[in-house]
This record gives sequence, C-alpha cells and structure tokens, in this order.
Amino acid sequence: MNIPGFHRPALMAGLLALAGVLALPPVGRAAVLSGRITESKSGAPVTSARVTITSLPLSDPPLVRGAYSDTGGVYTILKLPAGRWACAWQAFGYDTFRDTLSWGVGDTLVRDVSLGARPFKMNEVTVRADPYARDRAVQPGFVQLGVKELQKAPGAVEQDVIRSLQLLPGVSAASDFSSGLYVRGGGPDQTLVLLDDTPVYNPTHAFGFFSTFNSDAVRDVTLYKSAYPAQYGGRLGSVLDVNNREGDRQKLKGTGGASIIAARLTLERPIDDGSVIFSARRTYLDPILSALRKGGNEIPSFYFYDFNARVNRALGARDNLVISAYHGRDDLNLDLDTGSFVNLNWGNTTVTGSLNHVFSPTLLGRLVAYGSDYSSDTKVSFFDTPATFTNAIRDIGLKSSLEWTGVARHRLEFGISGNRYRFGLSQEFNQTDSPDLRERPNGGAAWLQDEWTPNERTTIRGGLRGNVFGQGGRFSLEPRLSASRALGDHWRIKGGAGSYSQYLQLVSTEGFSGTDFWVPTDRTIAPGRSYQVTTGVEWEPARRWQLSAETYYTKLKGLVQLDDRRSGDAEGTTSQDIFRAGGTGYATGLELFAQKRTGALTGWVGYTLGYSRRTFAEVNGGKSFPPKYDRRHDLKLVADLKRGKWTYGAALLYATGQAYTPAGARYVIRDPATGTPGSSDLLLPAPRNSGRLLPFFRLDLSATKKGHIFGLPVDWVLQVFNATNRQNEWFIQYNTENPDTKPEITHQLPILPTFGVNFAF
Amino acid sequence: MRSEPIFRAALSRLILRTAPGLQFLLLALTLGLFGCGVRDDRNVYKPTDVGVLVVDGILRVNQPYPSIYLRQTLAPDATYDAAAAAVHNATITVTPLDAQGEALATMHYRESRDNDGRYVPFQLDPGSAGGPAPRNRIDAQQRYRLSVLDAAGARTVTAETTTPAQFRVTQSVLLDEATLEVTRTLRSFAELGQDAYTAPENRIVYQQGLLEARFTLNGAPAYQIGLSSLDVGSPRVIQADFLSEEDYAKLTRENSSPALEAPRGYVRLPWFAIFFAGRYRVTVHAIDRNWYDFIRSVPQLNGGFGFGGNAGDNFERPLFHITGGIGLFGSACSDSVGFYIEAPDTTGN
Repeated sequence: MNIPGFHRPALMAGLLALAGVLALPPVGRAAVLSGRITESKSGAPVTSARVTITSLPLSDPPLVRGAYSDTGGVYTILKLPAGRWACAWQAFGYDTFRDTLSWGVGDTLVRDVSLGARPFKMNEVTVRADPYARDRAVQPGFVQLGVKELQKAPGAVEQDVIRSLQLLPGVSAASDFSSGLYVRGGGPDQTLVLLDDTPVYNPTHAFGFFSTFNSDAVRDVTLYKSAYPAQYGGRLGSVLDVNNREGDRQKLKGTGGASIIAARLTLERPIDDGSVIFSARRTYLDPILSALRKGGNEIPSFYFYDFNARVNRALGARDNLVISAYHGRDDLNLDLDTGSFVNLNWGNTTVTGSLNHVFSPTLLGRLVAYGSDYSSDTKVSFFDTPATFTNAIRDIGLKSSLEWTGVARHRLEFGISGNRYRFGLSQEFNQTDSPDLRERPNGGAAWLQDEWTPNERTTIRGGLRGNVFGQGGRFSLEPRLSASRALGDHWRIKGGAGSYSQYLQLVSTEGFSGTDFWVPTDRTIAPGRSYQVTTGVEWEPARRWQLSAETYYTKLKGLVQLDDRRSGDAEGTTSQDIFRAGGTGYATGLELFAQKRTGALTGWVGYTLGYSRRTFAEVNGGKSFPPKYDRRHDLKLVADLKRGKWTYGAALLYATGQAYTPAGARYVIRDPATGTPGSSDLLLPAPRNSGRLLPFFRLDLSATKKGHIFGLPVDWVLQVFNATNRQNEWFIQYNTENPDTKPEITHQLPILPTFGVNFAF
Repeated sequence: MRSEPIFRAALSRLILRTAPGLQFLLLALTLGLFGCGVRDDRNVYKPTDVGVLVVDGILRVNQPYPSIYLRQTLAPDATYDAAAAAVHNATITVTPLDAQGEALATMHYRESRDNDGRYVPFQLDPGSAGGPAPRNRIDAQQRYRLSVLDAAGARTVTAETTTPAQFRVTQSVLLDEATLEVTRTLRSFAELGQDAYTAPENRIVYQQGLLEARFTLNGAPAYQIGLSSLDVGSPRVIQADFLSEEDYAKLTRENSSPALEAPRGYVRLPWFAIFFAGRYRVTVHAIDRNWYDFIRSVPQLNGGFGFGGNAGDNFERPLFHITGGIGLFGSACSDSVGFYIEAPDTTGN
C-alpha cells in the first residue's frame, strides 16, 4: 500500500546528500586528531576505548583532552591547539598504548592504534572492555549482559538467554514453562526482540520452554526495560537486542556441548580480512519419545533445531560487512489413532546484511538490509474431522543510519528505515475454510537523536522518531529523552521518558507459544500507544559493588485483547472483528538492585514492587483488573561462587502469586440446543483476576567443574532446577462435572536435575 | 558522603564477612519458609454472586409457550442441589409486545409440582385481572418480555427477546470427503415423516462422507446444532486407543455445537460429534441475539475452555441480557433432519 508522503527513494537520496555534507572536513584553524582503535589479535574494533591527550610540557593545571571510541572503534578529538602532546589509548582488558605526537595549526592527524588484549584479572574475574558504556551511563532501565554472565546463572536443562534475563528485577516469566519476557508490567508482545538488528517474531522453541537464542552463538544481550531510545520503535514497552558474536580472526576454534536433551556445536575460523562462525543445535529426544510410544502411551514425537551463521569481512580500510543468518524449526507429531492426529510445525528464519562505512573521522554510516520470516502450521484431525491453521509473517526491510561527532560534546545520530510486511492467516475446519487474512502493509520510520555532554558529569540524550504504517494510514511522532548526571565519584542519577506506538498485535495463549500469530491493526481500531517515565539512582561505592534504585510508570492506551467469544466460523477479518479494542492501562513500580561484581562470590539481589492494571469496556464490566502477570513483589537472588576448579551457581526467585479469576457462584441452565440438563454445572466468575495463586518460589542450583577429555578443556555441569521441589501453582481447573471433586491445580515443573558437558578446542 | 563509611561498614559486617555459601543458604531458607504457603481448597473460590436469580427459558417459534425455570445461584464450592437452587412462589409473566413496546397480551406462569423451580404457563380465568391471554403459540419476529417478581416482592428480573424469522432446512446431503461433491440427498421429515430415519438414503456408515445441512439464511445472528441419539442402548461407534473407559462413560446421547454464523448457508457435521449407532435427529436452531451471546460467552457451551483451565483468561462473566439476575431468556426457530448411523464394517468385507 502506498503511503502518502512516504517515498523511500526520496528519503534515501536525502540521506546520502546529508552524508555528503556531514562528511566534509571540519573547518577552522584548530587541529583534529582521529583514528581507529582495533584489537591487535582479532582486528575487531574496540568500542568505548578512552583516548587521553595531555599537552606538553605539563602546565599547572595540565591541559587534558579526550574522547571515547564508538562501536566502530573510531575516535575524534576536535579543536586542538598546536603543540606536543602525550597520548594514551586505553580500554579495559587491553594493554594501554602510549605515544607522543605533535601537530601544527589546522592539521588533521589520523592515528590508528592496535591494542593488545590483556585480560584484566581481579580475583579470577575477567573484566573486559565495555562496549555499552555510553548507553549504560545515560539510559535508565538499561541492562547489558555478555555471554559469560548469561551462562553463569543455573538454567532449565539448557542455558538460555531469555531465562537469564528473567532473573533481573523488572523482568518476569509467565511460568517455568515460559521463556517469554514480561518486562515492567508489560506483556511479551510489548517487547521488540531483535537478533542482529532483525526482528524475531516468535523467539521461542518447545512451546516457549526455550528461547531461539543459542547461547554459544550469542555475544551479548541488551535490554532496554523502558524509555528506550529513538533508534528503536514499534513496541509499547521494551527492547531486547541480541547480537551474535563474530568468529575468531586468528585460528580455527570450536565449542560445543551436550545436555540431556540437546547437543550444540559452534565452529569459527578466520577468512580474508574477517571471520566466519557457524552454530548448530538440535534436540535428541526423538529416540526416548519413540521408546515411550512403543509402551502404548500417547507420546508425541518432538524435536527442534536451529542454526546461526555470521560472516564478518573488512572491505578496505573504511568498510566492514557483516552477513548473519538464523534458521530454526520446531516439529511435533502425535498420532493418536486412525484419522486422529496432531501435527504442529513452526519456526523463524532471519537474514541480515549490514555495512558499516567510515565517511570521515567524524561521520560513520551504517546500512542494514534484513528479512525475517515466521510461520506456523497446525494440522489436527479427530475422528476424520480435519482442522488446519496456518499463519505467517514476513518482514523485509532496509535501515540506514549516520553518526556524526563533528561538533564537540555532541553525538548526532540520524536514521531512516522502510519495510514491507506480509501477513497470512488461514484456517479450515471440517473442509470449510474461513476467509484468509492477507495483508501487505508498508512500514517506515525516521529518527534523529543527539547525545549532548554539556560537561563531564552530565549527559542528555534527546530524540524524535516518526513512524508510518500503511495499514490504516497511521503516523505517529514520538519524542524520547534520557539524561544522567554523576554526583561525585560514586553516585549517578538518571531519568528517561518517551512516547511509543505499536501497530502489530500478537495473538497468543499465555504459556503456550506454538500457535502464536501476529496481525496488523487496521483502520477499524486505534493502534496501541504508551507513555513512559523512568527515574533512577546508582551508587557505586567501589568497583566490586553497584547498587541502584529505579522507578517506572507506563501509561497505555489502544490496547487490544483477542475476542475469544467470536464464533469459530465468523468471516470478518478486520481488527474490530478479531479484537476487543480500546483498552487502557498502566504499570508502575520500584526496582532495587545490588550487584557484587568481583571476588570469589559474585551475583546480585533484585527486588521489584510492581502494580499493573488494564481496563476494557467489554471486560470485567468495564472495571480495571490486574493482568495475570501482575506481580506485587518479585525478589531474585543470583550467586556465583568460585572455588578452585569448581564454580557453584544459585538462583532464587520469589514472587507474588499469579492473578487468576476465581469462581464466584455455581448455577445450572439447560442446554438450549437440546433442552436437556447440561452435562455439567456452570460457574459464574468473580471479578477478573481477583484471586492469587500461592506465592512463587524456586531455587535453582548448579555446579561446574573444569576438566579435560582427550586433552580438550571441558566443563562438567550439574544443574538442579527447582531444588526444593516446590510445587508452584500454574493454573486452576474447577471441576464442574462432579462438584464433589476438589479443584484441580496444575503445578509447574518439579525438581529437575540435569547434567551436561561443554567443551572447546 | 558522610553516611557512606557507616553504610559500607554495615555491609561488611552483615554480608561480606559471612561465609558466602552460608549467606545464600540462610536467605534461601528464609524465603523458602515464608514463601511456601499452604493451599486450602476453599481459598480458590470467591463467593461473590451467591443467591442471584437465574432465569432459564427459551421461546421456540411455532411452539406453545415453554416452561421457564427460576433458580438461584449457589456457593461455588457447594455440590449443586436442585432443590436448594429452586426459587418458589415467584410471579412470572411473558408478554408479547407491539412495535411501541406496549403489551399485546400476557401469559401467566405458575410453579409446577416438581418443586425444582419450573414454572408452567397457564390461562387465567376469563374476566380476571391480568389482561387478555395470548394465543398459546410463539410467533416469528415477535418481541416478548419476561417479568419475574420473587415471593417477597423484593427482587425483580426482566428480559426481552425478539424471535427469529421462519427458518427451514432446505436440503440435507452427504458429500464426498475428497471432492466435496454431493453423493446422496437425504430424505426429509416433510417427505417421509418418522420413516425418514430408516429410508435407504438416510442410512449412513460412520465416518464415510461428510454430512451437510443446507438452509436459507433468515437473518438470525447465529445458528446452533442440537444432536440427539434416539436409540437408547444402541452400540457405540466411536473407537480410539487414546480413549479410556472413563472417557467412554462420559459420552452422552444429547450434544450441541458451538455457536455458528454459517455465513454460506450450510453447516457440516463433524464425525467426532457422533458417538453411537442408530437413529439421530439433528436440529438446526436459528437463534436470537440473547441465545447467541450466552453460548458464545460460556466456554463450556462454545467449544470448551482454552489454556489455563476454567479459571483462565476466558473465564469471563457471560453475556446474559437480563436485568436483575442472570441466565438465558432467548428464542429460536428450528428445523430438524433425521438419519441412521450404521457401524462401519470392521471385518474388511
């Protein structure tokens, strides 16, 4: 669909013209020092390295200037007086490089530096360069975890990226079975999930038990819990940005592992001016399930697999090309009897190509082309009565951005993006098909952001994002703001706010993600909007400790809820037909976080006090109610203790019980179609979600021992999920056929000891 | 800051100098002890709506005025007791209304002797107060009002329904499952009366073909199918390894479909709705808005509960369209077809 006023070629031309203007060398008589900082071993850019230059001879006070390198390793220091300068390039985890340079009036000096890796060890804990220092400094609600941190926490059978994030304050799970992200009182559909800049529409395997992210392939994970910056958009709540890692640029390396259900293998090697990495993972439950089936049980066959690949290659001195891809599928088959079966197949495929270009020392460009495809295909037959349900979403897009540091104390970023969706939804029951939903809307966005550092202690990041969406001819303008100020050497205060919109809606069942599907909202209903404010204070009394407190408030409107009272053969496919629309709500809370980062014992304690409410005219008599994932109290403790070859891990979670709707009365009405007494009583619900399941408590433990097999270093891992075997409640089933029977309470996972081995070569 | 050393010293004493393993164990035990609540089954109920009047009455076009049940809700954790639920000595009337909402006549009801909350229509003596009695037949496209006043005169319930237009199943056919071509046209009650059940065209082998009932849409918001196995004691035809004897014991001879909008003027009968051999009567109901809204908002009547049990996300207050109480006061115009299900030949012949 064409959107008035939105012409991608024109915007691209404009962007290139702007790049040309911005790429001009700085004008004036002052000198400029710039260059690129790379890692000597791998050639990878070093982000957030600090460059400090001191005028010689030393004066009192000394004249000192400095800058940080950006994500491409590029740094620039402007407006330098002529003279001799002592220069130092330094970054955590690298040897500091020093040199003395001289320049004259108006000179432009380019000095590229390679830093040797020098793991900075402090009581066995390796401190690496922090490529997210800027975001960490200015963004409230910002969390960034490297792969080491992700692998520390005890997992549920397999290490999992999203399950590790669920151990942070403000992030929760629907259940033990869920790897969905419920961030600061929002649902999983309100979090934008990106893998190497590409949206992933159903980031789960095994009905949500595992995420799609293979932790062996992941470099780091960034979570913006709220008030996320202008380069992101399209979701009401938060952003999860997952980056796969680059392959080794020096030699062939391999890592892998096996657990009781799956095996993983990652291979990486250098190529000309770059590297390549390939990861694969597959479950091998099939033989076990097959054996159980032969015992006469109705056990399905099930497996999932996924692949990740990434190629990095430098194209000359100014360009770096990255191509990455992901493909994963889940498959479940259950043959019940002749004419009765269940077959589910679903999965994601993503492909991303990105090109980073250095126009000049002060101007960087980035172009990303991506494609993301999610499809789900369900075929069911009971007694020769077939039913099929298929859905797919394809998102193909192009993003381009520029980062300009030509003005001292400012970092200006500008970007545009355009994409085309293809939605498909079809269903058929008993050879009667319902009308298909086939939509191909266009989307687009342009954003501008300036990070201003008026002084050493203050950073202000302001942005504006404009979104267009073809379906319904939607347009939204979204201001974003975050700011931080250091108070002394140990304290920092932060604040952030923003406006957000969402044009896609996820239709899902909580706790079961195999048949999730996305549909665009059309002109029949208003899209979702949110307004967020967050504030925080951090205290870092010493390097080993960090404590923080954050508050958040999100106001929501234009929320939708699937209308499950709709007739199964209804033909309407507009948003108004599918959803109950016009919902409002809010989420607010306080997060406390204390982290011990170094020493034999590391870990954190996080606590969240949260309130979340939703209001729909057609639900609960129009009165507000808590969503199921509303948690008043949520406490998490994660600890990691090293003792020689052993590492012990523990994660403890305590939370207010999930909200549910209790039965308020019992009554009987005859079946109107037959005129006979119904086969069971009916229950009248009490106010929606006015009951609470028992508090959730879980303790997970792990022990890892370093050893060798055939000369290869290995980690033996023993994990105990739910070590206290606490019977956490999942949901309640009232028995209406036999009222003498007690309510049936379905519990979450019991104690689950597992073991595995990880290796590297 | 001045307070910093004090705070850090406190941290050191409380946390840093305790053995790391012990710190964690203590916290885990503390939270575990406080976190482990004990489930009392009564706690999962919340008796917010006990004692609410429940109306149960369906007006069927071309049929006499029906019985109407008046009961009340019981505690959610109570075993349902029909006698305890029955509401006695209430005053119930059903009144056909004209276009302006004025009463055309009034049908009065009195409690039956069953003592189960059933009220039956009766004609007042000529000349008594209460207005003229209507013809004892429900008309199509007619608005009716229900009024209920309990014995104490404290609680009133009112509701209205507008009956659907006349409705008729025009054709019943058996389709080829692969091609969807008509392989046979079934005989109707209009043609053969009760002999339709045993007419050769109406004898269908279980799971062979696809049964389709065709009709002309009459403007009703939805349709519902009622399915009755008439030969009590006839053998079971449904058979599957994954069904247990307990499952088989729950199979009933009276079943109904979810609400269907049937936008193309036909409904197809799923084979998983047929459990027994013998005579079957399929009734297609063109239903009014009250009936439609009620069954589509009660998960048990509309295809079962979704994920999360019946306390899950779709456990919502049904759409009753009743003032002062809950229940269903609806109407329908219905037509039926009959056929005979034969068990498949399992000998391979």
